[in-house]
Amino acid sequence: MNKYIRVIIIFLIAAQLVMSSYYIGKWSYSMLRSYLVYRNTPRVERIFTTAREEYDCSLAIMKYLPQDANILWIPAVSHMVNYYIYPRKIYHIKDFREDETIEIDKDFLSSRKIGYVLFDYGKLFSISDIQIIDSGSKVIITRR
Amino acid sequence: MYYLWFIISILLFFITGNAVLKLIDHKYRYHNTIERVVISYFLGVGIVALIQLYAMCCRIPLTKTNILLLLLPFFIVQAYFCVTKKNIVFKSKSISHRIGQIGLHGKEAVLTVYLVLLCLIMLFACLSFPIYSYDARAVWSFKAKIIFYQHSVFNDDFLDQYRFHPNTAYPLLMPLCQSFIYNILGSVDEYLVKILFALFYISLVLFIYHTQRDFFSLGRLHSLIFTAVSVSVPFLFVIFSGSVPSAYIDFPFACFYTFTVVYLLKYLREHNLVHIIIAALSAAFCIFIKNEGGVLFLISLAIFIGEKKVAKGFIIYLLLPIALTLPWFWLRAKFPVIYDSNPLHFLTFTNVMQGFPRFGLVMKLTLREMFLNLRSWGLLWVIIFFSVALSFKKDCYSHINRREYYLCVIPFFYYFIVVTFIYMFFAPLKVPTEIEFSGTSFERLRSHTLFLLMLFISLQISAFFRKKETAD
Repeated sequence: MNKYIRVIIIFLIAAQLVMSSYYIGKWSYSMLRSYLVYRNTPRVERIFTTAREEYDCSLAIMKYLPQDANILWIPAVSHMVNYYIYPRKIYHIKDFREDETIEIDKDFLSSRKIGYVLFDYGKLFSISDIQIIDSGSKVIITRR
Repeated sequence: MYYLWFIISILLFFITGNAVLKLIDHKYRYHNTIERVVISYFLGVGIVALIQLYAMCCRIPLTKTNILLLLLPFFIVQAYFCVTKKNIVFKSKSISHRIGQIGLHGKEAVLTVYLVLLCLIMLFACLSFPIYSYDARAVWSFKAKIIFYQHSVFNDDFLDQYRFHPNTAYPLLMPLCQSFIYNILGSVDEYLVKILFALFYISLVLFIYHTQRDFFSLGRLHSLIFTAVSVSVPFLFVIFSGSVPSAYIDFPFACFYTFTVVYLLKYLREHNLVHIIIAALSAAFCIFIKNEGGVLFLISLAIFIGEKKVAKGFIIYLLLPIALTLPWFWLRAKFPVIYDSNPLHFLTFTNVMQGFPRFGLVMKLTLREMFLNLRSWGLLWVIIFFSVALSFKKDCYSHINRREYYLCVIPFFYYFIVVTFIYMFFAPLKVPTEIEFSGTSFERLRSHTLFLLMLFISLQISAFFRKKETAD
């Protein structure tokens, strides 16, 4: 019985090493190929994520907005964009209403020094171009 | 100059770790060269992060000058031992002498070349691409970026809930190490910072080999084979989320956990306080690198039950990690809990009732992932199950110490149960699909205890073969 177990163990370990080497070799080859492509591609074109919109949006923000511009993002959530554009800051507001408006505290925009509002990927508005309706202690933000 | 600062930043981890090791173990009696280099790196990474944490708690901004000043005592300790010639790690004569003595032949030489090749591939994979996978950017590296730019966590990126920073309260060990490199370099470098992960991989290769040779007293060929099997698991290379080059934190966590348990076992066997201090420090790093570290720390405490003459070791192992990580828990309490993936939040009566019928599906996906996903695992799970089944065989199990069995196999089953429960009860909004199952958490959660399990299997198979040879 032990003799068979011994043979099985040796076979399994040899097979595991061969299989691992095969997959690592295959992966290394494709990695090397993508590295060569990547090295010769301008940074703007280097897309790693499937979320192409997020990446494009990050690049647009980095390209067109000043370094110290803070952004209010309604209602999308993107941690990728957060990462890419830092130290520019994005403040996320989730409670988007059906009439495409958002109600927030009155001093929110000034205390966070928000210069831009992003309603969706690529739809970026300067704070001076959006409509802000005063309603007591809150303000309602909407697109013009 | 830029690359010189980069090399200095890496050397600082080793110098800090080596200085701490020297302070713990004045006589250097219990560690050989490989072990000292590995310990220096592991301790260095953890201590550098903890020192930055304490500085943040004291409201000291994490600038390059401040960090270098904070690490100055470690340079002085290192310089003192270099001057007094008590340092063995950086004695080239000692290392070259050892290399000359190795004398590898045949299969051993082939396996050594194979392991060197794996390390080189990993080094290239880490340094040739920037941080690309989802959580690595959105969670871990984002924290590193914030700390680098703001020099602290006391800013609205961490404290303002509208910043919507995912998993704000996740432990900061790796982000602090990453921001440490950024601070020394003077800028964010998404490529060079990944050297940390490559060095973890190389350290683990050396550590697994050394543990088998030195602690388990196994043969050189046997140790090389099982080191190769353990570190060549395809998912460590090929998976998008959770592999070593993906810069997820799971791999460094697995390294620290393996390190902790091996030193705990060493202490229980030799009753040398140096080992329990190293294990306790490493346990503290486990807690400070990932939330799961706390649970595994609690599991490992149970190993002291029934042991004799371990009171001093138990107190050190219990209190040192708690004392070292208390500032982290104090800091963490200040962060707002938003968008935090706290699984207990989902543990409601309705979710539990909805989750039970999923058991069959989760089991099916688990088994398929383990045994049919050859691209990620090869035949590893067949080997693991075969070996665990073998351990119940009467004449084989007798060779395995109960401590090794408890510390290697129990955490593995703990993860098995936890992952099953997560997919059954804690993800109520969507039924798990195959893609989610294999592409997100399966590999990386299983990897936490994998290397320890492989050490156990190596020990067990060696015992089985030895037993057979004796019988012959």
